[in-house]
Amino acid sequence: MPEIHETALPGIGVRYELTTRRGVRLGVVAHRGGRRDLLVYDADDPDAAREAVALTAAETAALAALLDPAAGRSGGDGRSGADGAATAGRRHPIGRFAVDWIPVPPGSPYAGRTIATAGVRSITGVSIVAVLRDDAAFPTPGPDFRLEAGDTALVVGTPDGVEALIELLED
Amino acid sequence: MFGSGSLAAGTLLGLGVVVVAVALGARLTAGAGLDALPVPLVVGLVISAAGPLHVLRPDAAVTRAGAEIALVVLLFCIGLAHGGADRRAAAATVRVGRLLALDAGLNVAPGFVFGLLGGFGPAGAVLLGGVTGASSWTAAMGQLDRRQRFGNRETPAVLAVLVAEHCALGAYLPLAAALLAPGGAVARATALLGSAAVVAAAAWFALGRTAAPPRWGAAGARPPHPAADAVLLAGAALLLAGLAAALGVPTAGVAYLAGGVMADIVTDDDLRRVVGALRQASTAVAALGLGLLVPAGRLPGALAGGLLLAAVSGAGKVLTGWWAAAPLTTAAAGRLRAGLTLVPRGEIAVAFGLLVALSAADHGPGTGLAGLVAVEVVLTTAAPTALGDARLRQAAASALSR
Repeated sequence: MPEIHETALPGIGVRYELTTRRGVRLGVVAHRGGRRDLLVYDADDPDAAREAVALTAAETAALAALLDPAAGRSGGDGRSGADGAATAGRRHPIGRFAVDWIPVPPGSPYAGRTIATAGVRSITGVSIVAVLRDDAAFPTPGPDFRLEAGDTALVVGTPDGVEALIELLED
Repeated sequence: MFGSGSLAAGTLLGLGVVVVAVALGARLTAGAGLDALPVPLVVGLVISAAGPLHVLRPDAAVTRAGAEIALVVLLFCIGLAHGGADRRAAAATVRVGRLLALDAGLNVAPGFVFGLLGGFGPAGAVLLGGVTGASSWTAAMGQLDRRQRFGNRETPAVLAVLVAEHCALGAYLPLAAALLAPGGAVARATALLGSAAVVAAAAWFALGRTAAPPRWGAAGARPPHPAADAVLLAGAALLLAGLAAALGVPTAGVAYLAGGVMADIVTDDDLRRVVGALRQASTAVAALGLGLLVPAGRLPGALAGGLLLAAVSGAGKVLTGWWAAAPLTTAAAGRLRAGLTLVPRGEIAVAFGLLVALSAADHGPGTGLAGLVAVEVVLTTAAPTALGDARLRQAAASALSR
């Protein structure tokens, strides 16, 4: 999960920044009232954004759905809650989702790691709805929940996302 | 010119021409990448300065009434802009105590000294200090937006300075306005004490409360009606101002503090948008009124003084931004950008200028002070555009960091 840096902009909103694996610094300015600025910074000049694209609430929702079709359904980070247009734009018909049971095999790279550090959501966009371990069921596990070999995860996501998660858990 | 008995027609025709001129001028300046804020001010100055255009000048009574209402609504809207969350964010970004000390020394002092030397008296000097002391939120937002600087590293410092200045104004403005109260020593003392009491009450209300305020226009509570809500807020401001006036307390400070106290309950985005439009409209009317209230004869004298004042107070703001941005960035270009963004004096300066102009006799020294304010606003809002030239900025940055 990439680290997101948060800066308050008094009277405007919040600025979020993250650096991609390839070293590109991206930013988002969340204005009060729903406007979002999408920023790309130059490696040479960390002070000023090279490119800034202002997005309306509806454009933000459309872009978010393109980037991560599953994210809209679970309500995002809750910050967009006050933003009616953003919530409405991300809603998807239930028919497009896949529900699946995925075992965590012994030797899986994710055995012993928490859901957050495994990056299940951030990589595949899939949500783990419940985890079955032996005879016990753990409904709606939080990001701190630690997966173990032999667990079975009940997941919801796009068909592609679920496929990707199966591959991740197995290799 | 319009014949006898058609005063209303003449007034309306004149106002129509003026409003169209302001709107077209605002379009032109915005298209050229300039700030539209001083356009109504310039239109007002031109009409009152150019003899043939005097036919466009509304009745003095109309001008005064319009300006007075616009002033109350404008100050209320400025007060509404920033709530407790903004104040806390600003305090976390910049050292507010040092900033205000710096602002007092670099930005308020030049106006104050200038006012004393110009013979405008202690009250005039205090008001001119307010003009040069407070940067314009509107103009700064315009610059940040046009130049796509919301994501820049120095920007939180710029915003924090503006919010902190708005807070400080909550004490400065009511007390400065009280100095202008008409009447004798008793009336002035009443105005000062009343203003001080209002400031204390507002500070207690705004700073002491920690619980979450009630949300105005919270979703689902009732059918949303942002326009009616905004009118209701403006009406409340006028009521409070009227009440204050009846008690002999200056209305300007009360309107401003009423906005500041209510800022926390106005959270609805649609309502904020309507309030923003109301603020723009009242800024334009107030600026137009200020321009119209400066007598033609006062302008040449104000030009030379205003040029000097703008240069000194502009340099002060550049240094203020340079200092405020230091914890966020070491790059000279960023620190200079922060300083230049703070140079424009806008709606707050117009409000102070209008306070002076409305309290001044028709051709008294107060009108000269209003002229000075007008020149200061026009020059400082135009300056960052000229100084925005990248080569010029680089040269200045290297000179400053040496």
